[in-house]
Amino acid sequence: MTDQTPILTIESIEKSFGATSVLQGVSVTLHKGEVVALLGASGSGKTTLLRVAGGLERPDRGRITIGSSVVFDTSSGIDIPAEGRNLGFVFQSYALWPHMTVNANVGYGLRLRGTSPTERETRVLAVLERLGLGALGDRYPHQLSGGQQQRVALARALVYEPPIVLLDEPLSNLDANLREEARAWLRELIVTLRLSALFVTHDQVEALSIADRVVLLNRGIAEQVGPPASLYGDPKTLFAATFLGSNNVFPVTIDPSSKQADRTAMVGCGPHRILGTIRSNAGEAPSSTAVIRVERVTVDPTLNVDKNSTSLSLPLRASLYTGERWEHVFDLNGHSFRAWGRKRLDRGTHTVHLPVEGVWVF
Amino acid sequence: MLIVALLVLSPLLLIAYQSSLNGPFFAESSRVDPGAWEYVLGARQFWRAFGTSAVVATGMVLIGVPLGAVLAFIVVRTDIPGRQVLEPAVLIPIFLSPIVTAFGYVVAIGPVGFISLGVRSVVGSVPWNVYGLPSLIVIAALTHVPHTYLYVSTALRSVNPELEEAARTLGAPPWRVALDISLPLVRPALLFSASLTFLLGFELFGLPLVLGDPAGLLVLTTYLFKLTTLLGVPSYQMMAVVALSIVVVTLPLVMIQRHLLGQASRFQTIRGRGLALRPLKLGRWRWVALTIVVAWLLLTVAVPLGGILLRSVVKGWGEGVSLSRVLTLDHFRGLADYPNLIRGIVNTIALGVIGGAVTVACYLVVGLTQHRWASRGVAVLDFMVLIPRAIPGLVGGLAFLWLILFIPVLRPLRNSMIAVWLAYSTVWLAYGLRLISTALLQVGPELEEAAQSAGASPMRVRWEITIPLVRLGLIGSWLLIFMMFVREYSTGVYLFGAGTEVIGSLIVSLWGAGGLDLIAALSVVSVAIVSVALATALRLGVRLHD
Ligand SMILES: Nc1ncnc2c1ncn2[C@@H]1O[C@H](COP(=O)(O)OP(=O)(O)O)[C@@H](O)[C@H]1O
Ligand SMILES: [Mg+2]
Repeated sequence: MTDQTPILTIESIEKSFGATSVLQGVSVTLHKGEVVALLGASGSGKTTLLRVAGGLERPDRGRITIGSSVVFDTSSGIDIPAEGRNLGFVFQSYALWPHMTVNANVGYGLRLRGTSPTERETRVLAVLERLGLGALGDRYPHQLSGGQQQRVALARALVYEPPIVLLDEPLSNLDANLREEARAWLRELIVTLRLSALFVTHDQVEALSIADRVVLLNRGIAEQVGPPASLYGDPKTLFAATFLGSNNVFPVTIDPSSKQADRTAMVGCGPHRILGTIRSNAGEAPSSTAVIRVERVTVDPTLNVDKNSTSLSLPLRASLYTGERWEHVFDLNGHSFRAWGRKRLDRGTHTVHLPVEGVWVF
Repeated sequence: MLIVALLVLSPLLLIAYQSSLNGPFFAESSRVDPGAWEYVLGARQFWRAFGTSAVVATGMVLIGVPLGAVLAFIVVRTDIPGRQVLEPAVLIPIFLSPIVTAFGYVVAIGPVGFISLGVRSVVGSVPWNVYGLPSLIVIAALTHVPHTYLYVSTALRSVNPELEEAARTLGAPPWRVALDISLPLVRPALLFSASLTFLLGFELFGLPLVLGDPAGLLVLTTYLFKLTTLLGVPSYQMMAVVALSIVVVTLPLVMIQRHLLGQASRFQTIRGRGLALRPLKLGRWRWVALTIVVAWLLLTVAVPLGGILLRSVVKGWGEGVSLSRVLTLDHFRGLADYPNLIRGIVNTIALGVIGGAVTVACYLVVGLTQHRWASRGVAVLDFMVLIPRAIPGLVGGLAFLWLILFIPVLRPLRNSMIAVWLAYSTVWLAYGLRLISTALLQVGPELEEAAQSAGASPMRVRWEITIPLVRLGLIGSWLLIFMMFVREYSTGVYLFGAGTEVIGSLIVSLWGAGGLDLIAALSVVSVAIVSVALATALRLGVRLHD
């Protein structure tokens, strides 16, 4: 399990490609036995950061420490090349060598380390069996399904037992239905093998479900770092709040006189007055943005709401059936406002409830 | 298409016919007789030349292909300093005339070469001999490295860089990445390069003429060239047998290459999804890599070119001679004293500029016939244009000479540059057509289809859409053909006569007469012409290869 020994420390990494600055001082720490996810939109620099950690990309500034040894440091000029860092790296494209069999692919890292052929065979077989690929050793990569290829890529990076594995979008090339199963499988594998893993994903569900901690990347900086629940339930910025989950976002004005010591305040959106929680210093500005997760909005008319809830009467624009539920789209002062329910709603006006701690004002 | 067939097949058929006679094909008394075959195949000298050719070709493959592959990996896939300069520089030897290069080696590292004398004054002796089999093999291998480089580098460009990076993260240093991953992935290109190098080894003429002959070493082409001297009388049937025996080796090689090329393009599926080309970080290996490339460039380009340049501006050279005392421009002035040399230079330029343009136009016509047109006729054509690749320039020139003598209506062409032009255009057909079809394929098919669906006939589509769109490609092809024509020397050897001199064949004939001063001056002129064309091509952004 996680202890507090840092095994990989990435400090203040800056990297630009030509004029575009991709990483602007990112710091990430991975502890022993921990799984950390780098989450961000496409183009946010996740792959670049992972490649920097792996020694495949040279950052402009910063420091990287693996275990107790510094592998990169601009101030002292240290730069250990990729082959000297002893990491496991799983590429998004898997990067399996088409001219080698599965056995040869997986055994390559051992061959480089001078392991004897017999021991190599045993260890390759062991890791293949562990990943459910026992019978496929003699096949070539193109003879495997996408899921099998992904596991071979993983096996290749794990077979020599590196202290850290770096995974770039490990599940993104899998079919949608396979991906959901693979989430649990990957988490279980990492935990039982006691790996320390840093993985990149643009899929929030993947990040939240697999990782112990999530680093949210936004335009080259770490926007927020924390355990999945705190990232989802306690976002510190508007970006963090809206990046995760399904949200209703609408502009509001804060009534300064209504501000309480517990940071609750009354905000206005057109004719509507809503009780919300001020999440940042942004509360000083007259106009702000309010965010509420869709699942926190209720439309049940029979519900007994407490005094800290705001009830609004909103006209229904549309009711959409999405399979697992109904999505109701209301009109909030010209903005669409969504809520989920178990039943279809009739046309007309309905009452929706917004709990005060669910309405975040930034 | 009929013309192509005629141009390609008739010389070969004529040689085959001649080889079966007992006298010249134009002599009334000649009869079909296997005597020539029996004589040549029974001659020890023929077999020795054949063996030497095989050894040289094999040696070139064994040295040149690995070296070319390593150079390609270094220049294309790593972050060595100065890549922009090195990439075109590596191709320079392709544009140098082998006869010029060979001569350059003689004056640089020959028994009394500039470098040899320098070395002798330091160590007391010259630890190498530029004449003979070992140096012929090494020099031929070094100068043919760019052919391997060309095909391997193209293939390497299409390898997904993540495949290489994956090996690095597993602990492989760059040289292991090259050996275990990159080069095995481009195996079809390596095989192709090997067969091409072997083929070129059999067609070698200038290098063995200059470097082998003085040591009594003959290869097939120089054996053919010397046959008249060896026998004392010109023997058409024997020459035909030797010429044919070269083609018997080279033609199957061309077939193999065609097959390999098809495979190579199928292998391109290893390309990853839309990846930017990321060079491998070499770290401290950068300087090792740079040393390899620069050392090769020095040996293969700087040494012979430097030798010629220096030789062209000195009166004589020997031990203890100081450079400032012997500096002279007399050799260049000397060129003017010989009308045939001046004519040769003018002819060469005219052949390159005018002949080259007409040739490109002709190739374009053939290329357009093949362009997006799948029929049995085109498949045959496709195959036929490859045949000239199997015909060494020397044999091609010989065949055209005979053809002109054979067909009465062509006889006036004897001693005219048109004959030379015809021979050059045929010998370079395969190369030129590849340039043209590469250019044609750059045109998106939908552009042509749009014109067609708007009602344009296939002819109009080609004239008004395709050709204007490939204009730049055509200019590039013209420049490349120009350089090849200036560099060519062996095709003109048998067509050499008053009025048909070109620089290449002049050098060959001067070499026989021992006119070193003039050879040096002519070589510099030839290199200068090619350099101007090369610089223009680079400036226009012409791709030197596909
Ligand atoms: N080798 C490169 N050269 C130039 N720009 C690059 C290179 N690699 C990445 N980038 C740019 O850096 C940004 C971040 O890329 P990347 O790290 O791949 O993002 P992510 O993995 O988060 O989608 C993108 O805008 C991309 O275009
Ligand atoms: Mg990415």
